[in-house]
Amino acid sequence: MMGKPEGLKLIDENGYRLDGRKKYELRKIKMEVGVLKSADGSAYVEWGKNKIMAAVYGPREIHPKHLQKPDRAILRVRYNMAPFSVEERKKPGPDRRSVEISKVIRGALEPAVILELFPRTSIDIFIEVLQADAGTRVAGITAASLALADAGIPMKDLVAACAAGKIDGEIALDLNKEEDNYGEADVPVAIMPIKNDITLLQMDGYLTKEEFLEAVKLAIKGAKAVYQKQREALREKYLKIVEEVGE
Amino acid sequence: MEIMASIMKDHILQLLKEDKRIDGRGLEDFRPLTVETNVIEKAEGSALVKLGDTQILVGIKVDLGEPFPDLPNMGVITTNVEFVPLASPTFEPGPPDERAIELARVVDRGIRESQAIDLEKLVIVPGKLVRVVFIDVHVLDHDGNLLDASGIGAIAALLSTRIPKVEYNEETEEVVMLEEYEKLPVTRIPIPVTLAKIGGNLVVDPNFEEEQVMDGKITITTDENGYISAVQKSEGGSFKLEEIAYVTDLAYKKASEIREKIPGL
Amino acid sequence: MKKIFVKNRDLVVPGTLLAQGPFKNGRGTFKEGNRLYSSVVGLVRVSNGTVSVVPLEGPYIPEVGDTVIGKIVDVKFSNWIVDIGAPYQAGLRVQDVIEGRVDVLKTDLRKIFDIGDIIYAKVKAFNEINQIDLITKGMPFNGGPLKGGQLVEITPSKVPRLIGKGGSMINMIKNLTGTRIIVGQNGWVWVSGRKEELEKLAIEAILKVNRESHTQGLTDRVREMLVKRLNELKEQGIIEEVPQLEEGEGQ
Repeated sequence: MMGKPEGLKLIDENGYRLDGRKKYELRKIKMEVGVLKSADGSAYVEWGKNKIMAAVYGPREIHPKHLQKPDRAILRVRYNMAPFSVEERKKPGPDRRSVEISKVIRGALEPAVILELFPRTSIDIFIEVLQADAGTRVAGITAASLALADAGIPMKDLVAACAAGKIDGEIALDLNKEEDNYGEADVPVAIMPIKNDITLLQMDGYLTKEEFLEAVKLAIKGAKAVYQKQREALREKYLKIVEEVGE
Repeated sequence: MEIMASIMKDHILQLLKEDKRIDGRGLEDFRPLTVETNVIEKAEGSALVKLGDTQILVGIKVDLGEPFPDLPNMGVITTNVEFVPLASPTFEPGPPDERAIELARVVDRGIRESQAIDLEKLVIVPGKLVRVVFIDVHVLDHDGNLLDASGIGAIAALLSTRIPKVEYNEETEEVVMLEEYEKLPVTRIPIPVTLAKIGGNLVVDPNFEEEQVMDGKITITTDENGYISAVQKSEGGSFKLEEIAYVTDLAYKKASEIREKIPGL
Repeated sequence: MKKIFVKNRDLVVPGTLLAQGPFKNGRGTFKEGNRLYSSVVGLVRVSNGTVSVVPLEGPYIPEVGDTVIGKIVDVKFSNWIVDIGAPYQAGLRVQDVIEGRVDVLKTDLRKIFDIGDIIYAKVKAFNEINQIDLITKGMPFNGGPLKGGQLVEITPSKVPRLIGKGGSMINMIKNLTGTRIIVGQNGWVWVSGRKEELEKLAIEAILKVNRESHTQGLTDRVREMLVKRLNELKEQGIIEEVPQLEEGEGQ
């Protein structure tokens, strides 16, 4: 978190944020399933100014063999930011942040995928951040989960994600870039909504226990709204063809 | 390896049914912890942490350098973790392991976000010259819960760090290192506490065997002011909201016990 | 308490609650306590107390007895490695290709099937460690290799739709386009025609079935499309006549 410029207010006296949202309001989210031809499954998510593409390949047999697990598939995740996705050009390739995010995203999706069905194979998930504006990991998880479903990979639930944070001393939903830069904390959360299982949880900032738990609860609420949109997006892709032919 | 893991998992789960662990600890017990500081003379600060059979060595080097352009009035801290192959058959030589990168970033967040080091006091010439603090964590023996051991080692080493005072001459723009030493401005003591989830059970400070069979884990870093400065759910598995609340409470309690074992506090 | 929350042919997504109580969970579903959920995107099928979800996408999972189209990817000392579009590569042993005793030292397996050859085989075994064994003995044309033609890939779950009731759909496409078509249950389809244009037309029809498989009146629409294109080909002088379907065909 950076030093906040003097006098900058992230929440005004009427309770509105810089982009006009209320404290508990999500940014505008658009989802589309099945956007890439080559991949076995794919999805595109626009979340505020975030633009995220996810693709899934597999299950496919892994070589070299020592990477195989005899009793299940392995999930591999690569989160990558395009050089042009941020204000200042990002050097291409994985940096330490991307390595960490790839790892926690894998941990967030793994509990949902029924890996036991495909021993010795890998399921590869590629998340490309085309434009970043804070919250790319939760948008990436949301997109990846759709891409997995689109690839026909059996799952116990869709994984939905959202972040909450603290700005101007208050807990707020879904921080954008400015809020993330000048805010006091960011708490990304992913859940499997059927059983309220939390599969991603991080906190970057400085919060009391009460504030932290409030942020987690708020993020869960946000993720549940995201979940509804995910279900709609999936249904939309598969119902579309029916409508196209008019029957 | 896989078959071993499944036998081990059955055994560990069987014991957990009776709230027992393979090394005889209770679910909320840490392994014996010792922290020894000033173990490397060439480093400005250092600490050797033994947590059960896990051993971590942390060295602190302090240089002079430029601040980040967007943070001209702050010193720089950087945390690096190396999983050297001597410490475990699961560590391979080569580029940094993703586990090492994650570990370093979580330790770093715990320190940075609690403002454990007063970075403004590390500025010598605003926008031009600041102190750069390198926290280097070297894993010597991996018997589980490297994160807590590293976090404890990092803050202990920072507390032990002595740096030469400097004088800056504005006219000649010269920096002179003095013979006099001062402490690093460490103002808070963030301590990470990790719990593993194994088949629905939560255990604190997981050892290597427990980590091999766990579903996932969660780390909560707290300071003595009652604030949380980093949270990380890691690996697979999932947690319920109530479990998060329990883990948080336990993290405060365990952190304050650990703080008493750090030399110089 | 026995309760079902969906009906036949409902479109569901992973995590959709399907039923509660003593139902049997079929393919594409999983049980959590006494609740039954969908694990894939697909259409619900309820029959005899079993609830399943027919996936609309997903990998080919072999079943013993399936007839599949495959591609030889490697030739070993006494067997071939075959890609059949499943998550695992399949094996084909020489004794499952040739009748009688075979001296592998004197037989050049490449002369039977070489890398890149397209074959028609049956799934002989698919065991718990996901080893897939194929057999070509006793298959039409001894399993190939299928020369010339083109390979098209459709979603495995849509194969029954492409074949149609009693072969109605596939026979209609074959007869109208005058092509030879072999459909593998793995969703790989081999198409070979006298003319490139007819081959392309057959492929277009197959892909249309793949896309619109879960809609009604599909056979009629595919026939209309084919007849329209055939008339265009006739006008262009590529074919002489538009084949007529026999009574009852393509219904």
